[in-house]
Amino acid sequence: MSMHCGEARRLLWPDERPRAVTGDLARAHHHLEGCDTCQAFLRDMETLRHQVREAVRPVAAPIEVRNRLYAAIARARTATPVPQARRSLWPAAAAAVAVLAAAGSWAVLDGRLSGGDPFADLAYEHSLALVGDGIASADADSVSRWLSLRVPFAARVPSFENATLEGAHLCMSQCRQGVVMEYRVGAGMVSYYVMPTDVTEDEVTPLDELDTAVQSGYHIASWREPGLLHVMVGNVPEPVITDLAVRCRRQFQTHRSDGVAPVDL
Amino acid sequence: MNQPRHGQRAFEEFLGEHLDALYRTALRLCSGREADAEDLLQDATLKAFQRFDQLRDMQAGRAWMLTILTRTHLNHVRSSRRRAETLLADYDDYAFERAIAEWRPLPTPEDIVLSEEQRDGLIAAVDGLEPELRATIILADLEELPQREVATMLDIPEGTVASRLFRARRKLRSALEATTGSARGWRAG
Repeated sequence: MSMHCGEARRLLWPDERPRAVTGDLARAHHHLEGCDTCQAFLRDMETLRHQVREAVRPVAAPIEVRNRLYAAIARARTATPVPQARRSLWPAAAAAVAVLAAAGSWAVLDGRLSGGDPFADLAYEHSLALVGDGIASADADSVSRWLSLRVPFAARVPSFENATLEGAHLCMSQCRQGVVMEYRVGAGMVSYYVMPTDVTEDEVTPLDELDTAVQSGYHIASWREPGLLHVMVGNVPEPVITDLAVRCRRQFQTHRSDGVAPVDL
Repeated sequence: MNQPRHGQRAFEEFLGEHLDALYRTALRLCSGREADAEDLLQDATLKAFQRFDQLRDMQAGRAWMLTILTRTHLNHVRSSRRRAETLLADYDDYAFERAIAEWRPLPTPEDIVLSEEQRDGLIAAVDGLEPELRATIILADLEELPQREVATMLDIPEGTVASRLFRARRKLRSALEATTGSARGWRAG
């Protein structure tokens, strides 16, 4: 069966290297041998690539740019965290979650959250693993103790059978200190954020509900309890992060029924 | 694997090695606006400095810095972009095949040396691309990173990198056509 030009060009796309050798690829090469326009197409792509490189000639960073960068690094090295410098994503996140919770249970928002929403920043920060002061430990009690000395709310550290705690660190927003716990789940990572925020009893996410979203390839699950916003972000499949969030909430619920005091800011 | 050293001094040395490439990339990501490029570079540099101890392999350092730089830029763009300004949907395989099948070959493919006017026109065309297309072509064509690595850096499938490269090149060729004039008879695909 003969191959049409579009398929052959896609299979022989010149930027893809190395390429797996398949029967389709062999057929594409066979097509190429007898097709002048496909040969010209591949040549044109190479030509344009070369021309872009030629057009944008090497540019050296000006010395004043270098100096300013090194000065900024020196300041960052000695400065204490400045919360005002961070983007104010948490209040916006709380507002978004409030809307989602009002919209219904287990709201799946894939595709509805677009540029400018708070979760974009969150997923982005997760992708870059922004860390502040932190502890590296797989022991939930140690992490919980470390956090309890540093934040003014009950820092509960959930345990999961399929996720390994790697540690936790502090994060800041709107002059409020929150925490991020990091879990390894298979080949992926999940960051579990707990941030103080202004959540009233009326705005609490019911136990059988959860707000979920997808942003930049990261799955997000969030819920609210009085005074706190909980957000899990990870590069794991949606059912995995949902399951972790549900089990996390159940553990917290168990804690409460066991007599552990709820968060009191 | 080239094990990294850490600390401010080590980071400064690391930055010094890659600064020209980072500045050039920042400048093109910001469409040639020097002040914006400097802001972007500083933002990305401080993020990289905070995470420098997470860099496991110095040989991957350039790609690591470019990832932070590009994602920082695209995140800023997305945050400030109005809903109506979102990128047109990426091509699926079928749409990509249809688009590349319509490409009309250049009549003078061997002529790849640009005149000064063409060079300026091409730079302006790169600067005028949508941010996602611009980032893709800068990383793949200017920084010469493999398509697979660009896909990882931008967190998109490899096929999407290919279709974005094609869309970008199609626009660049149209721009070249405009500066070259109709005498050559180039036709955009």
